[in-house]
Amino acid sequence: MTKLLEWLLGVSLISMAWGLVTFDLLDLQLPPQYRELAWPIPVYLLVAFGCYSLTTVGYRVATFNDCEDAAKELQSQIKEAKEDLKKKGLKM
Amino acid sequence: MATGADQAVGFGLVGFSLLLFMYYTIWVIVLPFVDSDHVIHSYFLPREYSVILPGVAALILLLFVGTFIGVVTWKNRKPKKVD
Repeated sequence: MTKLLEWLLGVSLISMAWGLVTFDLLDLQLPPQYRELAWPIPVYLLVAFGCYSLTTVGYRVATFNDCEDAAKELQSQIKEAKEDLKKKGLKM
Repeated sequence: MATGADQAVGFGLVGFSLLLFMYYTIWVIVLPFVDSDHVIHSYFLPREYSVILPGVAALILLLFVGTFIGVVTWKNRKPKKVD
C-alpha cells in the first residue's frame, strides 16, 4: 500500500462520511445542529490549515537567529567577487 | 532571536492568524449549538458567508498570483526568441 493509496483511501473515507451527513443519504434523522455543523467542514479544514501555515511561518520569522558573522563574511565575499569580475572586464 | 522588524512582523502574523482561527472556529463549530436568541449571534454574519467569504478570498488570491506571473512574464519577453 503506497503512501498515495493510503492518502486517497483516507480522503475518500472522510469525504464519504461528510457526504452522508451533509446530504442525509442514509436518512439518519440527525439533530439539526449537527447538520448545520457538517456542511461547512471542508472549507473550515482549509481555513484551519491556512491559519496553521501562517502561524508557523510567522513564528519562524520571529525566532530566526541573526547570523552576524555569516552576514559579514558574505558581504566581504561579494566585494571580492565584484573586484575580480571588474578586473576581468565585466561592467557592473 | 531575530530583531526589530522581523520580530514585529513574525509575531504580528502569529497573532493575526490565531485571531482569525478563533473567530472562524466559533462561527463554524460553536454557533450551531448556541440558542438562536443569544446576543453572540449579532457578532457573526449568516452561516452561508462562512463558506462564501473564504471562497472569494481564494479567488482574489488566485487573481493576484496570476496577475503577478502575467506581468513578470510580459516584462521579460525578448524579441523573436525567449531564452
